[in-house]
Amino acid sequence: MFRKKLLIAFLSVGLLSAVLSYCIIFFILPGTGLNLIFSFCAVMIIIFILADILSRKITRPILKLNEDSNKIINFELDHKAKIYNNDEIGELAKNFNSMAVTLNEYMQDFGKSVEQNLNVNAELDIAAKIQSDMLPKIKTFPNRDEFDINAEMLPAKEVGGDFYDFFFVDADHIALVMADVSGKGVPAALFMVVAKTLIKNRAQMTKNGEHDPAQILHDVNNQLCGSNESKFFVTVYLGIVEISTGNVIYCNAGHEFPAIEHDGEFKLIETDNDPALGIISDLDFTNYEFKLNPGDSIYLYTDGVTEAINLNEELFGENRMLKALNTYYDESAEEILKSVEAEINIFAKKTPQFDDITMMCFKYFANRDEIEIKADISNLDRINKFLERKFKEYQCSEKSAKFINLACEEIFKNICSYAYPMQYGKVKIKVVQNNNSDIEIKFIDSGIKFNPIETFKIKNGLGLRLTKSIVDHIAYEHDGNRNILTLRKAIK
Amino acid sequence: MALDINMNLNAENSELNVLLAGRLDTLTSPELDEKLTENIQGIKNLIFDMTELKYISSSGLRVLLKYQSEMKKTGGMKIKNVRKEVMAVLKITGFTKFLNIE
Repeated sequence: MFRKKLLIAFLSVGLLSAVLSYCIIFFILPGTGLNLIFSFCAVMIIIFILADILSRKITRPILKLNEDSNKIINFELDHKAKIYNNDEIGELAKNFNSMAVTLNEYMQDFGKSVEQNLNVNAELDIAAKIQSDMLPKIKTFPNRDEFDINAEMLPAKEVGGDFYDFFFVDADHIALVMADVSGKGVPAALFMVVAKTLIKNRAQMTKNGEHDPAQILHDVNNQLCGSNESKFFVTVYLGIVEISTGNVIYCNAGHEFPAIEHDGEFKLIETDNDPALGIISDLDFTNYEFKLNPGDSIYLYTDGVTEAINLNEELFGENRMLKALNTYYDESAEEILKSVEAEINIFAKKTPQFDDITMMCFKYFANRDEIEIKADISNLDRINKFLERKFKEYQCSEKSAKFINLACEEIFKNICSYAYPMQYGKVKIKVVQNNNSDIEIKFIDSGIKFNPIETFKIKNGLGLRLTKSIVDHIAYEHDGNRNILTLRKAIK
Repeated sequence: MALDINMNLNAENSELNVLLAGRLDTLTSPELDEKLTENIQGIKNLIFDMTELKYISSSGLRVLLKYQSEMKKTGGMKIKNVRKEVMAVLKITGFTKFLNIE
Protein backbone atom coordinates (compact mmCIF):
# COMPACT_ATOMS: atom_id res chain seq x y z
CA MET A 1 0.00 0.00 0.00
CA PHE A 2 2.81 2.32 0.89
CA ARG A 3 4.54 1.35 -2.30
CA LYS A 4 1.41 2.01 -4.35
CA LYS A 5 1.21 5.51 -2.99
CA LEU A 6 4.83 6.10 -3.85
CA LEU A 7 4.26 4.64 -7.31
CA ILE A 8 1.34 6.93 -7.97
CA ALA A 9 3.39 9.86 -6.68
CA PHE A 10 6.29 9.07 -9.03
CA LEU A 11 3.98 8.43 -11.93
CA SER A 12 2.14 11.66 -11.34
CA VAL A 13 5.37 13.65 -11.21
CA GLY A 14 6.76 11.83 -14.21
CA LEU A 15 3.61 12.18 -16.27
CA LEU A 16 3.14 15.78 -15.38
CA SER A 17 6.70 16.61 -16.35
CA ALA A 18 6.38 14.65 -19.55
CA VAL A 19 3.11 16.31 -20.55
CA LEU A 20 4.49 19.70 -19.68
CA SER A 21 7.65 19.08 -21.65
CA TYR A 22 5.70 17.83 -24.69
CA CYS A 23 3.37 20.78 -24.61
CA ILE A 24 6.36 23.11 -24.65
CA ILE A 25 8.00 21.19 -27.52
CA PHE A 26 4.71 21.01 -29.47
CA PHE A 27 4.15 24.74 -29.20
CA ILE A 28 7.75 25.78 -29.82
CA LEU A 29 8.80 23.23 -32.46
CA PRO A 30 6.15 22.82 -35.22
CA GLY A 31 5.89 19.85 -37.53
CA THR A 32 6.78 17.25 -34.97
CA GLY A 33 3.29 15.54 -35.08
CA LEU A 34 3.47 11.71 -35.17
CA ASN A 35 7.09 11.53 -34.01
CA LEU A 36 6.00 13.43 -30.97
CA ILE A 37 3.30 10.89 -30.13
CA PHE A 38 5.69 7.96 -30.52
CA SER A 39 8.40 9.55 -28.41
CA PHE A 40 5.76 10.54 -25.84
CA CYS A 41 4.69 6.91 -25.55
CA ALA A 42 8.28 5.80 -25.21
CA VAL A 43 8.92 8.34 -22.50
CA MET A 44 5.74 7.21 -20.70
CA ILE A 45 6.92 3.61 -20.67
CA ILE A 46 10.33 4.64 -19.33
CA ILE A 47 8.66 6.74 -16.66
CA PHE A 48 6.46 3.80 -15.59
CA ILE A 49 9.41 1.47 -15.36
CA LEU A 50 11.55 3.95 -13.46
CA ALA A 51 8.71 4.78 -11.08
CA ASP A 52 8.13 1.10 -10.41
CA ILE A 53 11.79 0.32 -9.76
CA LEU A 54 12.33 3.38 -7.59
CA SER A 55 9.25 2.78 -5.51
CA ARG A 56 10.21 -0.81 -4.95
CA LYS A 57 13.74 0.07 -3.96
CA ILE A 58 12.71 2.76 -1.53
CA THR A 59 9.96 0.80 0.13
CA ARG A 60 11.74 -2.53 0.38
CA PRO A 61 13.57 -1.75 3.65
CA ILE A 62 10.40 -0.44 5.20
CA LEU A 63 8.29 -3.39 4.17
CA LYS A 64 10.93 -5.81 5.38
CA LEU A 65 11.17 -3.96 8.67
CA ASN A 66 7.43 -4.28 9.00
CA GLU A 67 7.73 -8.03 8.52
CA ASP A 68 10.58 -8.23 11.00
CA SER A 69 8.73 -6.25 13.61
CA ASN A 70 5.79 -8.63 13.28
CA LYS A 71 8.14 -11.51 14.04
CA ILE A 72 9.42 -9.73 17.12
CA ILE A 73 5.91 -9.02 18.34
CA ASN A 74 5.31 -12.75 18.09
CA PHE A 75 8.28 -13.24 20.43
CA GLU A 76 10.67 -14.60 17.86
CA LEU A 77 13.23 -12.51 19.67
CA ASP A 78 16.27 -14.05 18.06
CA HIS A 79 15.15 -12.88 14.65
CA LYS A 80 17.22 -9.98 13.41
CA ALA A 81 15.85 -7.21 11.20
CA LYS A 82 17.93 -6.72 8.02
CA ILE A 83 19.66 -3.38 7.78
CA TYR A 84 19.73 -2.16 4.19
CA ASN A 85 21.50 1.17 4.42
CA ASN A 86 22.51 3.87 6.85
CA ASP A 87 19.55 6.19 6.51
CA GLU A 88 16.73 6.71 8.98
CA ILE A 89 15.08 3.43 8.00
CA GLY A 90 18.35 1.69 8.67
CA GLU A 91 18.49 3.40 12.08
CA LEU A 92 14.96 2.25 12.78
CA ALA A 93 15.92 -1.31 11.91
CA LYS A 94 18.95 -1.10 14.22
CA ASN A 95 16.74 0.19 17.03
CA PHE A 96 14.32 -2.64 16.53
CA ASN A 97 17.15 -5.09 16.83
CA SER A 98 18.50 -3.65 20.04
CA MET A 99 14.97 -3.50 21.49
CA ALA A 100 14.54 -7.16 20.66
CA VAL A 101 17.84 -8.00 22.34
CA THR A 102 16.94 -6.04 25.46
CA LEU A 103 13.51 -7.61 25.65
CA ASN A 104 15.00 -11.04 25.25
CA GLU A 105 17.53 -10.49 28.04
CA TYR A 106 14.91 -9.03 30.34
CA MET A 107 12.58 -11.94 29.84
CA GLN A 108 15.29 -14.46 30.53
CA ASP A 109 16.38 -12.65 33.72
CA PHE A 110 12.79 -12.37 34.88
CA GLY A 111 12.19 -16.04 34.27
CA LYS A 112 15.32 -16.94 36.20
CA SER A 113 14.49 -14.74 39.18
CA VAL A 114 10.93 -16.07 39.39
CA GLU A 115 12.30 -19.57 39.40
CA GLN A 116 14.89 -18.65 42.01
CA ASN A 117 12.32 -16.97 44.21
CA LEU A 118 10.06 -19.95 44.09
CA ASN A 119 12.95 -22.20 44.96
CA VAL A 120 14.17 -20.01 47.76
CA ASN A 121 10.73 -19.59 49.25
CA ALA A 122 10.06 -23.27 48.94
CA GLU A 123 13.36 -23.98 50.59
CA LEU A 124 12.71 -21.53 53.42
CA ASP A 125 9.29 -23.03 53.99
CA ILE A 126 10.66 -26.56 54.04
CA ALA A 127 13.44 -25.64 56.43
CA ALA A 128 11.03 -23.86 58.76
CA LYS A 129 8.65 -26.79 58.71
CA ILE A 130 11.38 -29.34 59.43
CA GLN A 131 12.50 -27.26 62.35
CA SER A 132 9.10 -26.67 63.92
CA ASP A 133 7.96 -30.27 63.43
CA MET A 134 10.96 -31.54 65.34
CA LEU A 135 10.50 -29.53 68.51
CA PRO A 136 8.64 -31.10 71.43
CA LYS A 137 5.25 -29.58 72.11
CA ILE A 138 4.91 -28.18 75.60
CA LYS A 139 1.27 -29.09 76.06
CA THR A 140 1.76 -32.78 75.50
CA PHE A 141 4.65 -33.00 77.89
CA PRO A 142 3.86 -35.04 80.98
CA ASN A 143 2.83 -32.34 83.38
CA ARG A 144 4.60 -33.39 86.50
CA ASP A 145 4.14 -30.66 89.03
CA GLU A 146 7.62 -30.94 90.51
CA PHE A 147 8.78 -28.55 87.83
CA ASP A 148 7.49 -26.03 85.33
CA ILE A 149 9.09 -26.10 81.92
CA ASN A 150 8.55 -24.00 78.84
CA ALA A 151 10.51 -23.36 75.67
CA GLU A 152 10.16 -21.15 72.66
CA MET A 153 11.76 -20.94 69.23
CA LEU A 154 11.22 -17.84 67.12
CA PRO A 155 12.73 -18.60 63.71
CA ALA A 156 14.47 -15.99 61.62
CA LYS A 157 13.28 -15.60 58.05
CA GLU A 158 16.13 -17.80 56.95
CA VAL A 159 15.92 -20.45 59.61
CA GLY A 160 19.16 -21.03 61.41
CA GLY A 161 18.86 -24.53 62.77
CA ASP A 162 18.47 -23.69 66.48
CA PHE A 163 16.76 -26.38 68.49
CA TYR A 164 15.81 -27.32 72.01
CA ASP A 165 14.70 -30.62 73.47
CA PHE A 166 13.57 -32.01 76.79
CA PHE A 167 12.68 -35.57 77.62
CA PHE A 168 12.70 -38.04 80.44
CA VAL A 169 15.75 -40.24 80.63
CA ASP A 170 14.10 -42.27 83.36
CA ALA A 171 11.33 -41.67 85.89
CA ASP A 172 13.48 -39.45 88.07
CA HIS A 173 15.67 -37.73 85.48
CA ILE A 174 14.84 -35.17 82.84
CA ALA A 175 17.29 -34.04 80.16
CA LEU A 176 17.38 -30.46 78.94
CA VAL A 177 18.99 -29.66 75.60
CA MET A 178 19.70 -26.31 73.96
CA ALA A 179 21.61 -26.23 70.67
CA ASP A 180 22.60 -24.10 67.71
CA VAL A 181 23.60 -25.49 64.31
CA SER A 182 25.98 -23.49 62.13
CA GLY A 183 24.62 -22.44 58.76
CA LYS A 184 21.13 -21.72 57.49
CA GLY A 185 18.35 -23.11 55.34
CA VAL A 186 17.47 -26.70 54.56
CA PRO A 187 20.97 -28.19 54.96
CA ALA A 188 21.21 -26.74 58.47
CA ALA A 189 17.69 -27.91 59.29
CA LEU A 190 18.56 -31.45 58.20
CA PHE A 191 21.72 -31.46 60.25
CA MET A 192 19.67 -30.22 63.20
CA VAL A 193 17.32 -33.20 62.82
CA VAL A 194 20.23 -35.61 62.86
CA ALA A 195 21.94 -33.98 65.84
CA LYS A 196 18.75 -33.81 67.89
CA THR A 197 17.92 -37.45 67.20
CA LEU A 198 21.41 -38.68 68.04
CA ILE A 199 21.48 -36.77 71.32
CA LYS A 200 18.10 -38.02 72.46
CA ASN A 201 18.79 -41.62 71.46
CA ARG A 202 22.16 -41.71 73.14
CA ALA A 203 20.89 -39.96 76.27
CA GLN A 204 18.06 -42.45 76.67
CA MET A 205 20.44 -45.38 76.40
CA THR A 206 21.65 -44.94 79.98
CA LYS A 207 23.29 -47.97 81.46
CA ASN A 208 22.80 -48.85 85.10
CA GLY A 209 21.21 -45.55 85.96
CA GLU A 210 24.33 -43.57 85.19
CA HIS A 211 23.81 -40.13 83.73
CA ASP A 212 26.88 -38.77 82.02
CA PRO A 213 26.32 -35.82 79.67
CA ALA A 214 30.03 -35.70 78.82
CA GLN A 215 29.97 -39.28 77.62
CA ILE A 216 26.75 -38.71 75.70
CA LEU A 217 28.19 -35.72 73.86
CA HIS A 218 31.46 -37.57 73.29
CA ASP A 219 29.63 -40.39 71.53
CA VAL A 220 27.32 -38.09 69.55
CA ASN A 221 30.29 -35.99 68.49
CA ASN A 222 32.01 -39.05 67.01
CA GLN A 223 28.86 -40.02 65.15
CA LEU A 224 28.42 -36.50 63.76
CA CYS A 225 32.05 -36.23 62.68
CA GLY A 226 31.81 -39.60 61.00
CA SER A 227 29.21 -38.51 58.49
CA ASN A 228 29.76 -34.79 58.33
CA GLU A 229 30.18 -34.21 54.61
CA SER A 230 28.98 -30.62 54.72
CA LYS A 231 31.19 -29.81 57.67
CA PHE A 232 28.45 -28.44 59.88
CA PHE A 233 28.93 -28.12 63.61
CA VAL A 234 26.52 -27.67 66.48
CA THR A 235 26.93 -26.05 69.89
CA VAL A 236 25.09 -28.00 72.60
CA TYR A 237 24.19 -27.55 76.24
CA LEU A 238 23.03 -30.83 77.78
CA GLY A 239 21.86 -30.95 81.39
CA ILE A 240 20.27 -33.82 83.31
CA VAL A 241 18.17 -32.96 86.35
CA GLU A 242 17.47 -35.46 89.12
CA ILE A 243 13.95 -34.53 90.06
CA SER A 244 13.84 -36.00 93.53
CA THR A 245 16.96 -34.14 94.71
CA GLY A 246 17.45 -31.16 92.39
CA ASN A 247 20.98 -32.29 91.50
CA VAL A 248 22.00 -31.27 88.01
CA ILE A 249 24.85 -32.64 85.96
CA TYR A 250 25.65 -30.91 82.69
CA CYS A 251 28.09 -30.50 79.84
CA ASN A 252 28.57 -27.44 77.65
CA ALA A 253 29.89 -27.98 74.13
CA GLY A 254 30.66 -24.51 72.92
CA HIS A 255 27.24 -23.14 73.82
CA GLU A 256 26.13 -20.01 75.64
CA PHE A 257 26.49 -20.07 79.44
CA PRO A 258 23.24 -20.96 81.20
CA ALA A 259 21.61 -18.52 83.61
CA ILE A 260 20.71 -20.08 86.96
CA GLU A 261 18.41 -18.49 89.49
CA HIS A 262 19.16 -18.96 93.19
CA ASP A 263 17.29 -17.05 95.85
CA GLY A 264 15.58 -14.76 93.44
CA GLU A 265 18.56 -13.79 91.30
CA PHE A 266 19.61 -15.05 87.88
CA LYS A 267 23.36 -15.30 87.26
CA LEU A 268 25.42 -16.72 84.41
CA ILE A 269 27.40 -19.84 85.23
CA GLU A 270 30.65 -19.50 83.34
CA THR A 271 32.75 -22.56 82.70
CA ASP A 272 35.58 -23.60 80.41
CA ASN A 273 33.51 -24.79 77.51
CA ASP A 274 34.29 -27.84 75.45
CA PRO A 275 34.28 -27.42 71.67
CA ALA A 276 31.08 -27.68 69.63
CA LEU A 277 30.13 -31.04 68.18
CA GLY A 278 31.05 -31.95 64.62
CA ILE A 279 34.41 -30.19 64.49
CA ILE A 280 36.76 -33.01 65.28
CA SER A 281 36.28 -36.54 66.55
CA ASP A 282 37.58 -38.31 69.65
CA LEU A 283 37.20 -35.35 71.96
CA ASP A 284 36.80 -35.64 75.70
CA PHE A 285 34.10 -33.56 77.31
CA THR A 286 33.71 -32.43 80.91
CA ASN A 287 30.78 -32.73 83.34
CA TYR A 288 29.85 -30.01 85.78
CA GLU A 289 27.43 -30.26 88.70
CA PHE A 290 25.27 -28.01 90.80
CA LYS A 291 22.16 -28.29 92.91
CA LEU A 292 18.77 -26.70 92.45
CA ASN A 293 16.82 -25.74 95.54
CA PRO A 294 13.02 -25.70 95.39
CA GLY A 295 12.12 -22.45 93.66
CA ASP A 296 15.37 -22.24 91.63
CA SER A 297 15.34 -22.00 87.86
CA ILE A 298 17.51 -22.74 84.84
CA TYR A 299 17.34 -20.49 81.77
CA LEU A 300 18.88 -21.73 78.51
CA TYR A 301 19.13 -19.78 75.26
CA THR A 302 20.97 -19.41 71.96
CA ASP A 303 22.97 -16.48 70.68
CA GLY A 304 19.90 -15.26 68.84
CA VAL A 305 18.91 -13.73 72.18
CA THR A 306 22.16 -12.04 73.17
CA GLU A 307 23.07 -11.06 69.63
CA ALA A 308 19.73 -9.53 68.68
CA ILE A 309 20.50 -6.12 67.22
CA ASN A 310 18.71 -2.81 67.06
CA LEU A 311 18.88 -0.03 64.46
CA ASN A 312 22.12 1.31 65.95
CA GLU A 313 23.67 -2.12 65.56
CA GLU A 314 23.92 -2.53 69.32
CA LEU A 315 23.59 -6.04 70.73
CA PHE A 316 20.89 -7.01 73.23
CA GLY A 317 23.64 -8.64 75.25
CA GLU A 318 23.83 -10.73 78.42
CA ASN A 319 23.26 -7.81 80.79
CA ARG A 320 19.92 -6.87 79.28
CA MET A 321 18.94 -10.52 79.24
CA LEU A 322 19.80 -10.96 82.92
CA LYS A 323 17.99 -7.76 83.77
CA ALA A 324 14.83 -9.03 82.07
CA LEU A 325 15.15 -12.39 83.80
CA ASN A 326 15.62 -10.80 87.18
CA THR A 327 12.60 -8.57 86.72
CA TYR A 328 10.28 -11.47 86.05
CA TYR A 329 11.99 -14.32 87.90
CA ASP A 330 8.94 -14.95 90.05
CA GLU A 331 6.57 -15.63 87.17
CA SER A 332 5.86 -18.99 85.56
CA ALA A 333 8.33 -20.40 83.04
CA GLU A 334 6.06 -19.36 80.21
CA GLU A 335 5.71 -15.80 81.52
CA ILE A 336 9.45 -15.45 81.97
CA LEU A 337 10.08 -16.44 78.34
CA LYS A 338 7.37 -14.11 77.07
CA SER A 339 8.82 -11.26 79.11
CA VAL A 340 12.32 -11.76 77.72
CA GLU A 341 10.86 -11.97 74.23
CA ALA A 342 9.00 -8.70 74.84
CA GLU A 343 12.19 -7.01 76.04
CA ILE A 344 14.01 -8.15 72.90
CA ASN A 345 11.21 -6.77 70.74
CA ILE A 346 11.29 -3.42 72.51
CA PHE A 347 15.04 -3.29 72.10
CA ALA A 348 15.18 -4.35 68.46
CA LYS A 349 12.16 -2.30 67.42
CA LYS A 350 11.60 -3.00 63.73
CA THR A 351 15.07 -4.36 62.97
CA PRO A 352 14.68 -7.63 61.05
CA GLN A 353 15.59 -10.74 62.98
CA PHE A 354 18.53 -12.43 61.33
CA ASP A 355 19.00 -15.40 63.65
CA ASP A 356 16.68 -17.82 65.43
CA ILE A 357 15.77 -16.77 68.96
CA THR A 358 15.48 -19.85 71.12
CA MET A 359 15.07 -20.14 74.87
CA MET A 360 13.97 -22.50 77.59
CA CYS A 361 13.08 -22.00 81.22
CA PHE A 362 13.00 -24.80 83.77
CA LYS A 363 11.61 -23.96 87.22
CA TYR A 364 12.21 -26.52 89.91
CA PHE A 365 9.74 -27.05 92.73
CA ALA A 366 10.59 -30.50 94.08
CA ASN A 367 7.96 -32.43 95.96
CA ARG A 368 5.80 -29.65 97.12
CA ASP A 369 2.80 -29.38 99.30
CA GLU A 370 1.38 -26.38 97.61
CA ILE A 371 0.88 -25.10 94.12
CA GLU A 372 0.30 -21.50 93.19
CA ILE A 373 -1.18 -20.83 89.80
CA LYS A 374 -3.23 -18.40 87.80
CA ALA A 375 -6.94 -18.66 88.58
CA ASP A 376 -7.70 -19.76 85.05
CA ILE A 377 -9.84 -22.84 84.47
CA SER A 378 -7.36 -24.12 81.88
CA ASN A 379 -5.04 -24.86 84.81
CA LEU A 380 -7.40 -27.56 86.03
CA ASP A 381 -5.23 -30.32 84.59
CA ARG A 382 -2.18 -29.11 86.46
CA ILE A 383 -4.13 -29.11 89.69
CA ASN A 384 -5.33 -32.63 88.99
CA LYS A 385 -1.74 -33.80 88.49
CA PHE A 386 -0.64 -32.11 91.70
CA LEU A 387 -3.48 -33.69 93.68
CA GLU A 388 -2.78 -37.07 92.08
CA ARG A 389 0.76 -36.94 93.37
CA LYS A 390 -0.37 -35.96 96.85
CA PHE A 391 -2.98 -38.72 96.95
CA LYS A 392 -0.30 -41.22 96.08
CA GLU A 393 2.01 -39.79 98.70
CA TYR A 394 -0.64 -39.98 101.41
CA GLN A 395 -2.00 -43.25 100.13
CA CYS A 396 -5.59 -42.14 99.74
CA SER A 397 -8.12 -44.71 98.67
CA GLU A 398 -9.24 -44.47 95.07
CA LYS A 399 -12.76 -43.54 96.07
CA SER A 400 -11.59 -40.85 98.45
CA ALA A 401 -9.18 -39.47 95.88
CA LYS A 402 -11.93 -39.15 93.28
CA PHE A 403 -14.24 -37.32 95.63
CA ILE A 404 -11.57 -34.93 96.87
CA ASN A 405 -10.60 -34.24 93.29
CA LEU A 406 -14.23 -33.48 92.51
CA ALA A 407 -14.60 -31.08 95.43
CA CYS A 408 -11.39 -29.30 94.44
CA GLU A 409 -12.54 -28.95 90.86
CA GLU A 410 -15.80 -27.34 91.95
CA ILE A 411 -14.08 -24.93 94.34
CA PHE A 412 -11.37 -24.04 91.84
CA LYS A 413 -13.95 -23.46 89.13
CA ASN A 414 -15.78 -21.08 91.41
CA ILE A 415 -12.66 -19.14 92.32
CA CYS A 416 -11.79 -18.80 88.64
CA SER A 417 -15.24 -17.43 87.93
CA TYR A 418 -15.57 -14.96 90.78
CA ALA A 419 -12.38 -14.06 92.60
CA TYR A 420 -10.76 -11.82 90.00
CA PRO A 421 -13.34 -10.05 87.88
CA MET A 422 -10.99 -7.40 86.51
CA GLN A 423 -7.50 -8.76 86.13
CA TYR A 424 -5.87 -12.13 86.44
CA GLY A 425 -4.91 -13.37 89.87
CA LYS A 426 -3.41 -16.38 91.54
CA VAL A 427 -4.73 -19.04 93.84
CA LYS A 428 -2.66 -21.15 96.16
CA ILE A 429 -3.69 -24.70 96.94
CA LYS A 430 -2.08 -26.30 99.95
CA VAL A 431 -2.38 -29.94 100.84
CA VAL A 432 -1.37 -31.34 104.20
CA GLN A 433 -1.97 -34.53 106.03
CA ASN A 434 -3.89 -33.55 109.12
CA ASN A 435 -3.39 -36.64 111.14
CA ASN A 436 -3.16 -40.17 109.89
CA SER A 437 -6.70 -40.33 108.67
CA ASP A 438 -7.49 -36.94 107.20
CA ILE A 439 -6.27 -34.84 104.33
CA GLU A 440 -6.72 -31.09 104.51
CA ILE A 441 -6.79 -28.79 101.50
CA LYS A 442 -6.71 -25.01 101.67
CA PHE A 443 -7.63 -22.69 98.81
CA ILE A 444 -6.11 -19.26 99.28
CA ASP A 445 -6.69 -16.35 96.94
CA SER A 446 -6.34 -12.60 97.24
CA GLY A 447 -9.27 -11.71 95.06
CA ILE A 448 -12.41 -9.86 96.00
CA LYS A 449 -13.87 -10.92 99.29
CA PHE A 450 -16.30 -13.68 98.55
CA ASN A 451 -17.37 -16.94 100.06
CA PRO A 452 -17.39 -19.75 97.50
CA ILE A 453 -19.89 -21.64 99.57
CA GLU A 454 -22.30 -18.71 99.43
CA THR A 455 -21.71 -18.10 95.76
CA PHE A 456 -22.67 -21.65 94.94
CA LYS A 457 -26.16 -20.81 96.02
CA ILE A 458 -26.38 -18.06 93.43
CA LYS A 459 -25.71 -20.45 90.60
CA ASN A 460 -27.76 -23.57 90.60
CA GLY A 461 -26.17 -25.21 93.59
CA LEU A 462 -25.16 -28.35 91.81
CA GLY A 463 -21.48 -27.98 92.52
CA LEU A 464 -22.17 -26.94 96.10
CA ARG A 465 -24.37 -29.89 96.81
CA LEU A 466 -21.73 -32.20 95.46
CA THR A 467 -18.90 -30.58 97.37
CA LYS A 468 -20.70 -30.38 100.66
CA SER A 469 -21.85 -33.97 100.46
CA ILE A 470 -18.46 -35.24 99.51
CA VAL A 471 -16.24 -33.63 102.13
CA ASP A 472 -16.24 -34.19 105.84
CA HIS A 473 -15.61 -30.56 106.66
CA ILE A 474 -15.75 -27.29 104.79
CA ALA A 475 -15.09 -23.83 106.19
CA TYR A 476 -14.50 -20.33 104.90
CA GLU A 477 -12.65 -17.43 106.49
CA HIS A 478 -11.23 -14.11 105.42
CA ASP A 479 -8.00 -12.93 107.06
CA GLY A 480 -8.25 -9.29 106.01
CA ASN A 481 -6.51 -9.79 102.70
CA ARG A 482 -7.32 -13.22 101.48
CA ASN A 483 -10.13 -15.71 101.06
CA ILE A 484 -9.28 -19.02 102.71
CA LEU A 485 -11.40 -22.07 102.08
CA THR A 486 -10.57 -25.26 103.94
CA LEU A 487 -11.70 -28.77 103.07
CA ARG A 488 -11.11 -31.91 105.01
CA LYS A 489 -11.76 -35.48 104.07
CA ALA A 490 -10.84 -38.88 105.34
CA ILE A 491 -8.19 -40.64 103.36
CA LYS A 492 -9.93 -44.00 103.29
CA MET B 1 -6.91 -37.76 76.01
CA ALA B 2 -8.75 -36.87 79.18
CA LEU B 3 -12.05 -37.76 77.54
CA ASP B 4 -12.68 -40.17 74.68
CA ILE B 5 -16.00 -39.94 72.91
CA ASN B 6 -17.13 -42.71 70.57
CA MET B 7 -20.39 -42.18 68.72
CA ASN B 8 -22.33 -44.85 66.84
CA LEU B 9 -25.34 -43.92 64.83
CA ASN B 10 -28.04 -46.51 64.20
CA ALA B 11 -30.01 -44.79 61.46
CA GLU B 12 -32.80 -47.38 61.34
CA ASN B 13 -34.03 -46.80 64.88
CA SER B 14 -32.76 -43.17 65.01
CA GLU B 15 -30.52 -44.22 67.85
CA LEU B 16 -27.25 -42.59 68.87
CA ASN B 17 -24.92 -44.59 71.08
CA VAL B 18 -22.29 -42.57 72.90
CA LEU B 19 -19.39 -44.43 74.52
CA LEU B 20 -17.53 -42.29 77.05
CA ALA B 21 -14.09 -43.03 78.47
CA GLY B 22 -12.01 -41.06 80.94
CA ARG B 23 -13.10 -37.90 82.73
CA LEU B 24 -16.11 -35.69 82.11
CA ASP B 25 -15.03 -32.49 83.89
CA THR B 26 -15.04 -28.72 83.35
CA LEU B 27 -12.43 -28.93 80.62
CA THR B 28 -13.79 -31.91 78.70
CA SER B 29 -17.56 -31.33 78.97
CA PRO B 30 -17.69 -28.63 76.28
CA GLU B 31 -16.33 -31.09 73.76
CA LEU B 32 -19.06 -33.58 74.55
CA ASP B 33 -21.69 -30.88 74.33
CA GLU B 34 -20.38 -29.79 70.94
CA LYS B 35 -20.25 -33.31 69.54
CA LEU B 36 -23.76 -34.07 70.77
CA THR B 37 -25.14 -30.88 69.22
CA GLU B 38 -23.55 -31.81 65.90
CA ASN B 39 -25.00 -35.30 65.85
CA ILE B 40 -28.34 -35.00 67.60
CA GLN B 41 -30.48 -34.06 64.59
CA GLY B 42 -33.40 -36.44 64.18
CA ILE B 43 -32.29 -38.78 66.95
CA LYS B 44 -35.08 -40.40 68.96
CA ASN B 45 -32.94 -42.42 71.36
CA LEU B 46 -29.76 -41.15 72.99
CA ILE B 47 -27.80 -43.80 74.89
CA PHE B 48 -24.71 -43.14 77.02
CA ASP B 49 -22.48 -46.09 77.80
CA MET B 50 -20.35 -45.15 80.83
CA THR B 51 -18.37 -48.38 81.21
CA GLU B 52 -15.10 -46.51 80.91
CA LEU B 53 -16.13 -43.22 82.49
CA LYS B 54 -14.15 -42.81 85.68
CA TYR B 55 -15.05 -39.32 86.81
CA ILE B 56 -17.82 -36.81 86.48
CA SER B 57 -18.13 -33.30 87.90
CA SER B 58 -20.93 -30.73 87.90
CA SER B 59 -20.05 -29.61 84.36
CA GLY B 60 -20.63 -33.14 83.13
CA LEU B 61 -23.90 -33.31 85.03
CA ARG B 62 -25.06 -30.14 83.30
CA VAL B 63 -24.45 -31.67 79.90
CA LEU B 64 -26.48 -34.73 80.89
CA LEU B 65 -29.22 -32.47 82.19
CA LYS B 66 -29.31 -30.46 78.99
CA TYR B 67 -29.76 -33.47 76.75
CA GLN B 68 -32.17 -35.17 79.10
CA SER B 69 -34.46 -32.15 78.75
CA GLU B 70 -34.04 -31.99 75.00
CA MET B 71 -34.49 -35.70 74.35
CA LYS B 72 -37.60 -35.74 76.52
CA LYS B 73 -39.35 -33.70 73.82
CA THR B 74 -38.44 -35.88 70.85
CA GLY B 75 -37.76 -39.32 72.30
CA GLY B 76 -35.70 -40.53 75.22
CA MET B 77 -32.28 -40.74 76.85
CA LYS B 78 -30.73 -43.67 78.64
CA ILE B 79 -27.54 -44.20 80.63
CA LYS B 80 -26.01 -47.62 81.18
CA ASN B 81 -23.00 -49.28 82.82
CA VAL B 82 -22.39 -46.57 85.36
CA ARG B 83 -19.35 -47.04 87.61
CA LYS B 84 -19.51 -46.89 91.39
CA GLU B 85 -17.94 -43.43 91.83
CA VAL B 86 -19.99 -41.87 89.05
CA MET B 87 -23.16 -43.46 90.48
CA ALA B 88 -22.35 -41.97 93.87
CA VAL B 89 -22.21 -38.52 92.30
CA LEU B 90 -25.52 -39.09 90.51
CA LYS B 91 -27.11 -40.19 93.78
CA ILE B 92 -25.78 -37.30 95.85
CA THR B 93 -27.07 -34.78 93.38
CA GLY B 94 -30.42 -36.48 93.01
CA PHE B 95 -29.86 -37.05 89.31
CA THR B 96 -30.86 -40.67 89.73
CA LYS B 97 -34.39 -39.44 90.29
CA PHE B 98 -34.90 -38.19 86.77
CA LEU B 99 -32.25 -39.88 84.64
CA ASN B 100 -33.04 -43.21 83.03
CA ILE B 101 -30.26 -45.40 84.37
CA GLU B 102 -29.83 -49.07 83.59
